[in-house]
Amino acid sequence: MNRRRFRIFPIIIILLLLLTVTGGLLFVLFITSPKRLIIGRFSRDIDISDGISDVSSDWLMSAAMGKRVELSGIKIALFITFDGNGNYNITVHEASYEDARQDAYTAFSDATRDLIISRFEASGISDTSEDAVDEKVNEVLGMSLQKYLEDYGPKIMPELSALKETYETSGTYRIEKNMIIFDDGKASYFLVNNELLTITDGENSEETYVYFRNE
Amino acid sequence: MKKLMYISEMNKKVIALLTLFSVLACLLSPYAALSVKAANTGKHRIIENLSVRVNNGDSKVLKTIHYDYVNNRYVSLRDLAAALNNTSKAFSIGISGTDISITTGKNYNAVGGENVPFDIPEDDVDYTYNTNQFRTNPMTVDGRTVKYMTFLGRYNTGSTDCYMSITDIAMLLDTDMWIKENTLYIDTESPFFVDMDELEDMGFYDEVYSALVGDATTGEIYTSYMEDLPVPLASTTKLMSYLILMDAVTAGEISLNDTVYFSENAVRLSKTEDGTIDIEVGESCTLSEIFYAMLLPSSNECTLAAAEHLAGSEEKFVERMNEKAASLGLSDATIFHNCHGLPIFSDSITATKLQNHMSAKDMFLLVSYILSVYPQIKDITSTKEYTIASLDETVKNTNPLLYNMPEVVGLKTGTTIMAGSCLVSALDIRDDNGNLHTIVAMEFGAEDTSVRCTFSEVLLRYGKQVFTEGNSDASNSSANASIPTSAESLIRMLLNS
Repeated sequence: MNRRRFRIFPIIIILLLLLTVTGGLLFVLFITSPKRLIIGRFSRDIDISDGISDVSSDWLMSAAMGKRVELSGIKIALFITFDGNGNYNITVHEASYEDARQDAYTAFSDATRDLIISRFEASGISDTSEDAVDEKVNEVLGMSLQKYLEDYGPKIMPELSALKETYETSGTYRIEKNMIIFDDGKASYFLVNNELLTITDGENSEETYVYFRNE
Repeated sequence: MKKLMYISEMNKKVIALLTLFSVLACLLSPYAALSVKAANTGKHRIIENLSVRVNNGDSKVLKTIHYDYVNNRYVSLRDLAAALNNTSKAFSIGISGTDISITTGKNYNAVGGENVPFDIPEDDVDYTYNTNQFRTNPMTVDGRTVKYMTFLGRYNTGSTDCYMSITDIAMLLDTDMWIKENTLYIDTESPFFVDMDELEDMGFYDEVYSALVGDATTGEIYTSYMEDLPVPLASTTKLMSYLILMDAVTAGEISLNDTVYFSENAVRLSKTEDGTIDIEVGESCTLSEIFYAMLLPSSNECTLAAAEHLAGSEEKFVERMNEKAASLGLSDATIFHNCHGLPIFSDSITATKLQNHMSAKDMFLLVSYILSVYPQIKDITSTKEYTIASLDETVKNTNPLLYNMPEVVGLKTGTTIMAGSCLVSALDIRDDNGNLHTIVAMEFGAEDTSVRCTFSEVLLRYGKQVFTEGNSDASNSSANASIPTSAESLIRMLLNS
């Protein structure tokens, strides 16, 4: 009897070791170290469509037969970059701002053209094609409709400087368990996922931003 | 009894003879009425040998008749023409029967009696100076027909003369005139000028309930009187009716080519004294023809027919009118009871005479909107005469300013007893950048056609004056002044270019 127990004991030790190693490997591979993930750049989009719609619509509806225009999908990217040494910064992606500006003014120009066409038709003008309208605008104003709106129309885009002032910041951070503590004391949660970072403004806050890894 | 019967028979014969004589006299001479004492045949109590000084020259006599009231001056055109000879405002005048022709820029050839006093004493209290009836005698200026109220008088020498309102002739010649110490001063080098402050001080607005003049293109009001006062609209109502119908055309509900049939309601209206075009049940015309009938001779029956065509009933059409008024932001002063502007009575034991009402400011907003969205209304309202082919009827525009001011493009007259003689008028003018503006003037409550015409022309000329003065100031500002800054100004610039 004692000989059998003596033979089983090493097997048990080996099994325990294997379990420990496996568990450790599992922990390392799937329950990722927060410290290691918070390195690199993540981005999220700010949808500015509503504000652009409001300003555009106010301008259009000030004219007879003007209607509200609903724009969507006009976004600007914010980047949050962690250097892995406890420093972060948040920046407005200027290239995305320029893309958004182009998209906004193209949509605004299209809506304005539609209004002009409606008014031309109401006044009995026979040729109310888009080309005819564009030609008329060029003839009268000496520039395209979009150029006129960009230079003399309402400011439908938020100013880049204002966006920078609102969103851009930098500082230090530290990791505590699953939380990133930014230098201003805000707490955050992040998902155990190499591609996704969720930042909330406080432990029980409803304001949650989702950043996707950008590089 | 027999004696009374005998006298009655005698009187009948005398009356018959006098009547026959009068009819014959009228047929033989346009001035025969001068010999007959009857009401409204041009008897004038107040005459004046007014002094006139042209460009501070020598004083001359300008025979003047005060029509019914002191200071309602009508001046001798022959005397005035003679006084203006060899000036930049010289004009010649020819009178043939009741036809008067004026040619500007041409010296006048005297026929005798010019610039001499009346051939009767001014202070002869028993005297009544006779002319023909005060009316729109046929008159042309440089070949163009004009519509001014005048009367014709004959002197002992046998020559005839035309008397015209001093205000009207000043505007027609576009020359500055003013009266001071019983002398009429004329400055031929200055255009007709309206000093609105002075006019207001002298009670200019006493003749109307309300008035307003402004630039409908920019929305600027130059001057106004009682602009918020609700006033009866009469047929100026039809401007809103036009808007409702055109909105429906734009929305595709109806078409300008639609055939509009006249219902029993419309036919019944045409047979009353408010009817303009005699129609029968079953007759029809197109909607585009209806617009000419509505806006030129102000046909109530055609307006009603169009309203029923769109909405099924006048009541439903009127609902649209009031809804549109609200959507345009018009005030509580605006209320419509019908589509044409005639008075109606409320349906109650104490029946009240109701009329459509609006304020001058509301009318300005309405007209500005119509002119911006449907500027083609001016094509209709600037037409003097139009033949409605479907009805084989030629209709004429009731707006006298179309004749008196060539730049006038509309818009609508309106007349009821309560409303008086109303007029919403408009003229087109371009600024220094070539952009088209429409000056709109309106008055409600003028006593008669003559007052309506003169008052409105003064107001429109004032609007033109303010626009021109303001335009010359604006042209000195930055080059970007011509770039529109709003959606509406952009569209108007595109439409008006």
